[in-house]
Order: sequence, then C-alpha cells, then structure tokens
Amino acid sequence: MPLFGLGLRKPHFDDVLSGNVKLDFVEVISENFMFPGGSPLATLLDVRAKCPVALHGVSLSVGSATGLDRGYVRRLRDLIDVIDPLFVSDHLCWTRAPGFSSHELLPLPFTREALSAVTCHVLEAQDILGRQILLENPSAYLGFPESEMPEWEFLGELSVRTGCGLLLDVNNIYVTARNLGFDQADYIAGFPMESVRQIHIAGHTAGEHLLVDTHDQPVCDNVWDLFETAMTRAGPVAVMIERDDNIPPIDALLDELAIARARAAKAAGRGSRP
Amino acid sequence: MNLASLQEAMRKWLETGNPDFAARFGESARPGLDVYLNNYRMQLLQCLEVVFPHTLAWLGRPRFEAAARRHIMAQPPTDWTLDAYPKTFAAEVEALFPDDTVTADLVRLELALDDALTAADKPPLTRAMFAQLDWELAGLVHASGGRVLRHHSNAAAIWSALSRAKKPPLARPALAPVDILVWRSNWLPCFRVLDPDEAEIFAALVEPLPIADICTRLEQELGTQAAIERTGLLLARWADDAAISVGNGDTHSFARK
Repeated sequence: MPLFGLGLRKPHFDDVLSGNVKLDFVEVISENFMFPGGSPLATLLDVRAKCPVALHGVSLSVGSATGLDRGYVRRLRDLIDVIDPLFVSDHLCWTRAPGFSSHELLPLPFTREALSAVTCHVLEAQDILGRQILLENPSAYLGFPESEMPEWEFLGELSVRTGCGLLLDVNNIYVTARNLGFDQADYIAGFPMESVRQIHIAGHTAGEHLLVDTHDQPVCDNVWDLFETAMTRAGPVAVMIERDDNIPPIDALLDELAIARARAAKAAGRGSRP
Repeated sequence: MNLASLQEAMRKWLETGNPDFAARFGESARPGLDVYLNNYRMQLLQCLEVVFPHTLAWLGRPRFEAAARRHIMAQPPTDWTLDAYPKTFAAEVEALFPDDTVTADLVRLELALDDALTAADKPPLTRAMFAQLDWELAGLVHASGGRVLRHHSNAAAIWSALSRAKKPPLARPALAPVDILVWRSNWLPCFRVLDPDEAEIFAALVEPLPIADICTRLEQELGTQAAIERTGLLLARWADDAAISVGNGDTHSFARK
C-alpha cells in the first residue's frame, strides 16, 4: 500500500501538532533544521512524535565536479541520528563549487564523466550517513549537447551502481519535458520504477518562455495524469504533495492528497506492475 | 565542455550575469540560463528581506534593494546554508550609506536577532537555581544567542516601533553609546538596553565569569553593601529575563556539593 503525506512547511506545523490531521508521513527540508539549537529542531521533534518524517535536502550537491562538502554531510548525519527519518533525499544536481553555493538546483550533463562523479559522491554520502539516500529528478530549464544518455537512464545506472533509491517528481518530468521538448511518456516508460521509493506531486508556473517549477500552484490535470501513469508501474511508494509558496490552508492540500489517493487506487486497478 | 568547466561557466554566469558566460552554452540555452539567474538572485534577495524586515521598512524598498543588489554581486553565497548569507550584508549597507548610523545599527540588530533564533540551546539561570548554586564556583555566560551590540543612534526604539507597525521616531544620534543585549528567551529572540554596569559585566562574558567577580567589580564602584544588593538585583533581573546561563550550560556542575 502506498503511503500518503505532505511536504510540511511552517504554516501547517500547528495543524499536524494538533493531532487533527492524519498523515502517513510528512517531509521537511533538511537544511531548515540543521541548526545548533532553537525552536525549529524542537518543533520537528514534536512532529516526529506524531508521525514519520522524511528529510529532503537541497544542498548535498552530488553533482559537484569538486566533490562533496563532508562537513555538510556530517551535519546531515547529526540530524538523521536525532530524527530517525523515513527517507533521506536530495536532488540529481549540483549547487556548490569551492567558494560558491548557488542555492539553486543546477542541471548536470548526462555524461559518463558526470555519472562517474555522481556515483562516487552518492557512495561517499551513503557511507557517512550510514543509510540509503534517494535522489530526485529535478526540473530543468536547459539541456546539454554533451549528454550521452537520457536522464532516466542516468538515474537507473546510478541506482544500480550505488544502491541509492529514487524520488520521482512527476511535476518535474512534466516541466522538463515541456522545456526541453521530449515526450513525458518516454520518460515514464524508461524510468527505473523498481528503485522509486517516493513520489512528489506539485504545481508549476508558466513563464515567458519556459515552465518554472515554482511549487506555488495547485497540481494541474496533466501532472495528475502523469502521476496516475507512473503509479501503474510503481511499487509500494510514499506519495506526497509539495507546496512551497503561496501556501493555502492545509485543507486544500488534503483535498489534493485525496485526489492522489483516488488516482493511485485507479492506477492500481489497471497496473502493469508484475 | 567537461563537468568542471561547464560548472565554472555556469557559476560565472550566476555571479555576474555577464552574457559572455552565457554564450558558452549556445543561444538556445539563454532562456533557461535566465531562469536560473533569476531564481538565484531572487532567492538571495528574499533571504535578505526575511532577515532584515525593519531595515527594509526604514530604508524603503528602492534603497534596500540597491544595497541587496550590491551585496549579491559583491558577495556570492559560500555556505551550504542560506542562513550564513546575511552575515556580511552590514558591510554593504555601511558602504552605501556611510553617514547613516541608524541603518548601520538596525542592520546589526536584526542580524543578531536572526542569529539568536537558532543559536545553541543553553538552559538559562532561573531563580529556582539560586539555592543550589555554588556562589564561589559558579560562572555566568551568555544565554542562547547572547551578544552585546553598541549602538550610536536610537535604532532600537525605531526597531521597536516598526515591529509594532507604529510610526517610528525620527532618527537621532545617541548622546552616548548605548549597549544592547540580544538573546533568546522562550525560543524567541529579544533585546533590551543595558545599564552601564550591566554592559560591563556582559562584555566580560567571553568566558565564564564567577559571580564573586561580579560582586568585586561592583564593590569598587558602589561599596560592599550596595554591591551585594546590586548583584542580587541584577541576578534576579537576568533570571526573570532568562538572559544569562551558568558555565557551559551544565548548571549541575556548579551546584553546591
């Protein structure tokens, strides 16, 4: 059975802590809790007492040509040891170079050189963290002519080489497919679903030239359709709604989660998974 | 391009917005590069807006954004956490507005309040601990996020008015430097103006300061009996405000055996 949860952001902490909202799990941004002290971590521990927590990071930077920031990974380990999370995830991207941190998920060329570098960094991170990590397909706004394979093949090979799990963001597939001009059906068909542990569903915004992964809108019908297709091939995954801006009352997100449950049930009825 | 040169080119693009760096990715990549550049800059701007809300209100958006843009161009973020990014913003503000002591004080106050929010947890000294303390051994240290700022203006009053959405007082220089204690109490950052003798004591908290030393310091100014009374009054005030901690936070190590 899939699990269903929400990306938990500040406006909804009290809803979860009240006990009135029943969720299978919540996901928080790891970096928002990697502090020496203060209320964020104390509040997260209260949430953890109510339901399982997944940690989702944005600063691991497994794609950096210059290697991992081991200090960051050790800080993440400290948080993991306190929270005992359901999953630990980050993105297939790079954010860091010596003396620079972009705080933006920057794209990688899908080359054998990049695969080799990311493989080393994922293995090293899993070693320091003492557990499997999940990597998410990010939204992309440009592709590279240097790429030697599609993103799904890159992630599949990475999963085989490192044992990492995958976090499939169906909105990101939709955004990237529209921006870079590939067929989202090919992506889903080729994606190594056997490695997927978690699925993100979110909204986006149409920019002047490109779709932008803003997480500030309701999930659109095209993304719901893509989610349903993905669920026909998915195993027992944890599904969640991710909303980071223009955050509505929690009931609106619970309504979207109800749609996710219904779509997942519909997909289970016509599933192609062996 | 190999991975390292590609990332170096993209880094230069984000840091400078110079089209020469975008050209390396080809014309078709330009809309995407613009999205990354916009996201990068907006995220840093929003980070500064969140940490310095009353500096923004005081300066007005055009002047605040001018300082923020200058900061973003001059100081790319280096740390994995965005919380480190505002730390050097004060220098940009002071460079842009060199004669504006209110803004200089405001920006440092807001930075200290932001730091206090997530500083290491240290249990505060409470009145209930007084009976158990070994007054000879016990050394006082700053509470969580504790720090003393020296203001040269009425920025603290301006911050307080802005935080209550009231009309702030007119800017004016302080007749004498004003020492402000910033700390965290009940999870929330707070501050207050220190009395001169308190300010001297807090300035000495670079390492645990024995309570006996506090008494001695005050005795030189006030005489024995008044110093004892003043020490008692200050300890009670600090305990009521949760403004001070004992030792390295391990209050038991200074308990009377």
